[in-house]
Parts: sequence; C-alpha cells; structure tokens
Amino acid sequence: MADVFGKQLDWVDRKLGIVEDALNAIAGLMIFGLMFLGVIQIILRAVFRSPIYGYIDIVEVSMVGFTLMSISYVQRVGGHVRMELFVTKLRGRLHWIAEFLSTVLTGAIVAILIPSSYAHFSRAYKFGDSTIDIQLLTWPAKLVVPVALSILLVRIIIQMFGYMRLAYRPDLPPVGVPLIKTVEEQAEEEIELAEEVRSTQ
Amino acid sequence: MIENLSDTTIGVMGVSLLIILVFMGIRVYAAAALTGFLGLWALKGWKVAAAMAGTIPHSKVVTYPLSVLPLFILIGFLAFYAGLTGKLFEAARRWFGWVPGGLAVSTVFATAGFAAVSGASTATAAVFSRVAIPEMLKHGYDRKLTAGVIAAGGTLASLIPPSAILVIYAIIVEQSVGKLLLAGFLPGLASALIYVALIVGMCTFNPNLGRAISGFSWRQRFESLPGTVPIFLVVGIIFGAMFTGSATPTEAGALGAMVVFIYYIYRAWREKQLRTVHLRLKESLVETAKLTVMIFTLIWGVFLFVRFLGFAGLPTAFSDWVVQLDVAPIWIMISILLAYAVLGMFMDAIGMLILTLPVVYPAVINLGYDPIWFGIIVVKMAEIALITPPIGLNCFVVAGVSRDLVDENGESLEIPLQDVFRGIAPFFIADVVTVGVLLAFPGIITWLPNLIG
Repeated sequence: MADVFGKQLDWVDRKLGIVEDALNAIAGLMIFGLMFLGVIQIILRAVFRSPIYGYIDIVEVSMVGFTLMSISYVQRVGGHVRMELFVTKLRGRLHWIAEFLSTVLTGAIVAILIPSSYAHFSRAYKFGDSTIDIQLLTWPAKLVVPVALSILLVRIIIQMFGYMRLAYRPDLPPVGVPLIKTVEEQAEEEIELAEEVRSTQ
Repeated sequence: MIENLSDTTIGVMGVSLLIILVFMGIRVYAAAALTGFLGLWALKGWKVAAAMAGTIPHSKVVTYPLSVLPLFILIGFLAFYAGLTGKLFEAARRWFGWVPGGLAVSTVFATAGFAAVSGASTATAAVFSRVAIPEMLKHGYDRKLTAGVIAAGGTLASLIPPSAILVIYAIIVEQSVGKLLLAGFLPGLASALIYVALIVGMCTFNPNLGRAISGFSWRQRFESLPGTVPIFLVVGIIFGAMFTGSATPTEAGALGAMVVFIYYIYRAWREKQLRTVHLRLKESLVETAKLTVMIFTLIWGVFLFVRFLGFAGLPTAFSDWVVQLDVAPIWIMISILLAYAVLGMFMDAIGMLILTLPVVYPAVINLGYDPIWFGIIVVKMAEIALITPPIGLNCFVVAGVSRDLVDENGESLEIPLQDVFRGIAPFFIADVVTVGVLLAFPGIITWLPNLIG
C-alpha cells in the first residue's frame, strides 16, 4: 500500500514547520534585543542619570513574544519536559497508542485554553487596558496567547494523526511526530553539539 | 457526586491524577494544566475555571522579574559557542598543575568556571571530555579518576551565579532572586574545593593516580589569564550587581550576555571567522528561545495546577500534616532530599522543581527551615542526580566522548561506562558529604545573602 497519508501528513508538517521556525527565530531575536535594551538602560541610568522611560513596561509587554509565541516549535521538536521512564519501555503498537492518548489529552487542555485566553484578550481590548507607567496597550500581547495556542493545536492534531498512523501500521517510518531519545542518544546529541562547537574554533 | 467530596479530597485526587498523567509520559505542562483545570472545574464550576485558565498563561508569564531567565540562558549558549574552554583549561593547568593530581585539580577549576557561566552541566561534561581526557591520559592519569572528575565538574553549573535554576526557585517560592544568586556562590565554591581536597588526598596517597605537572614560569601563568577574563567578568557582574543592588537581575544578565557576546565577536575576528559568525549566533538564539519557551510553558502550566491546589487547601493541609508528624524535622528533611535524589534521576531538574515545590515548600518552611537555604540544597540534589547511576547523564556523556578519542599513536582512549561510574563514586560520596555539611552548617549558605539584609 502506498503511504499516501504519510506523504500528505509530511507535507502539512513541513508547511507548519516553516511558520514555527519563523516564530522561534523572532523569539530568539527578541531575546537578543532584550540584551541590548538592558545594556542601554544601564548606560543611560549610570552615565546620563536618565533611564529609559517605561523600561519595565516595555519588557513586560514584549515578554509574551519570547516566552510563549513559539510554543508550537518546542512541541514539534519534543522540547517540553516529560517523564519518559515508562513510555520508553513500551514497544511497537502499544507505544504509539500511549503516545496518541497523551497527545489527545494535551490537545484537550489546549483546546480549552484557546477560547478562554481569547476572552482575556477581548476584555483587554474592550476596556482599553494598558500598562501602569507609560500606558502601553496590553491587548496585542494578550492576543498572542490564543494565536500561539491555536498554532500549537494544529501541531498537536498533526501529531495525533502521526501517532494514529503508526498505531495502525507500526512498520511505517514515523512522520510528523517527535522521536524519543534514550539516555545514550541524549548523550550522543550533547557530544555532537560539543563537536560542532569545537570544529568551529 | 463530586459535590459530596471535601475540597481536600478533591485536592488529593488532583495530585493523584497528575502523578498518573506525568508517569504516562504526557508533557508536564499539559498534565499540570489539564489537572489544574479539571480541579478548578470541580471546585468552582466551569465558568470560573475557564476564566482563570484563560488569564494564567499571560499574566503569570509577563512579569519583569522573570525576564532575567532568557538572558541567563543566552549567556550560557553564547559562552558555549565562544570557545572559552581551551583557554580556561590551559590557564588552570598553568596555575594549579603543581599540586598532586594537578591536571585533575585544573579540570575541576576549569569546569567549575565554564559550568557556572554556561549553566549547562551536561554540555560542560561533553566539552571538557574532549579537552581534558587526552591531556590527562597522556600524563598517565588514572582513567577512572579522569572520567570521574570531568563528569562531576559539570555539576558545579547550577550553584555559582549566573544560575537560571536558582532564579526559577526564587520566583516559584517568592523569594529574592538576588539573595538566591548570592547564596549559591559559597556552596558552589565549597563543592569545588571539596572535589579538589579529594583529588589531592587521593593522589598524595596513591601518586600513580595522577602526578603533579610542573615547570610553568610566573610569566607563562600570567600570560594565560586574558582568556579567562569573560568568565570572571560575568560571575563578577552578576555577583556585584546582586550584592550592591545597583542593577536588577535582568539588567545584570543583559550586561553579562553582552560581555560574552563581545568576546565571541572578538574571538571570531582574531581567528578570521567573522564571515560565519552569524551562523553560530543564530544557533545560540534559536536554542535560547527554545529553552526559554520550555521553562515558561512549564511555569504557567504548573501555575494553573497550583491555583487549584490553593483552592483545595492542599499545601496547607500537607504542611499541617507534616508538622504534626512525630518525627524530628531533620529526618523529614532527609526523606525529602532522598525523594528528590530519586526523582532527579528520571526528570529534568527544572521540571522537577517547578512541579514539586508548590506542595513541598510550604511544609519545609513550616518545619522551620530557611527558604534560601532550602533552595540551594534542592538544586544541589538535582545536580547530584546527574552523576548518580544507573541514569547519570553526565557519565554517559563522558563515556560517549571518550569512545571516539585516540592518542598520538592511534591507541584508543576509551573509558567504558562502568569505569566512569566507578570513577564518579568518590565524587558522589564527596557530594553527599557536602550536603551533610550544608545541613549541619546552614550559615555557609545564608551568610552572604543575609549581609544584604
């Protein structure tokens, strides 16, 4: 049987991956920006005795951009913490079914959070909620939450289909799901990273 | 039916459900958020639960004190890519090589310095395996000692500032970030010095384990110092800012990251690699963002659960129960630490802390322990878990790197995993002794932070 479904899933996986990569890159750049902002703040305060007006407000409003926006990217690469003690002991179909169930439950809570975080945004939008010092509007930051969670939900649905496919046909190569690493593989990964760093020095 | 249950019963059911979900392998953030939501629903109804759940991911994440985390993480990744390791090891060798087991002692100091700044225990073990194993084995050092010292040295990452995990502890339990960062300094230094004393003792007793390396002039020693400047600067900036209160942790973190970034650019310029500099910078930023999001997701996920626990009155109930136990507090503390030692083998340190502290912490405080002191002890336990068999990720890393190493004659420098575990044993015991000392003399931890009042 030609694995048409696997190919389609792989296509969707890659397309969403582009969005996720971009969001994570933006998050990284924002952290880089936070570094410059902090240094400028120190210089202005220490040398010119005039700190950036509303520095704390600016940091707080922008934080959602590098703490939450790329949550889906982390889900894709399997970066969120979990306990793998028992899941790794399961093999074949049973393993994929367990992963599928975990993913369904994750999807459930994310699905609940999307409308409720949207309500949080819409209240801020209606009342024109703003920060204390420099009256920055907070609704754009609050809107990031339901948007990021919606992207996450799409990612979780892809993973659900990915696990479903593997539970049905455990012999197929995995598509659209993060793979579990054993402690040896984790060690191997750290070593590769160290190797890469060394080769560039 | 659920109306007939007491709040505490629902709380206990929630904790049980969370444990089951976590053991099932659900990502911790989702397990905690889901349980928290279901619990709030049971206690307060769907509407209230949904309203609370909707605000938490935003309101719990965008607070200024938390903004130091990405900067500390950035310092770590930049340090990792900036090539500080070789210079650091060379300087340590020239300064400390003359003592018995000199190369092992140098490795302790170099790993301590690098681990402190990078904040990454396992990565430190990986990098230093490459630098230190060939050098130590060339000088006839015992393989088990070599492996042990590298695996153990990485664990000094979390105590010496900057330390992301101490910031997380401070924020979860609502203590001063600055005090926690200061508090880690002396215990971190003490851990390193206890390792050094252990090595010197072992090598004096049995010189075949590792001999002193001599013959460096003072001039050569001082020449090796400039390469270590960024390390001292970063630790000094964070330490100084916390001690004097002249900058917030976030500002100090930004300045620290800037120092490493400038050094990184300088190194690239010296080695004519400016054209590829953006590739590694991009890698650092991507990894920083990933780790940042992971931590913050855990924070809001677990916070939803904590909100439910609070309504159920569980932390108070647990704390009251612990206090009325007819057991000396020290035994309760030791049981808690043992539980962390076991849990730490199976779970990431940050995840473990965020998940357990909301329940454990109030009980510990109710028993009369100092909040700052407990933070340092718990973080030290999480680090010990990285070298505890049979999991001990650091040990796997050292064994894994050594597999690919060969000496000048093409002889393999492999150190098998069981030898790494044997080599780590004395350091493991030393760490247990360190924890014992910190239990007996809490002043080692609390003296510095208490100076700033």
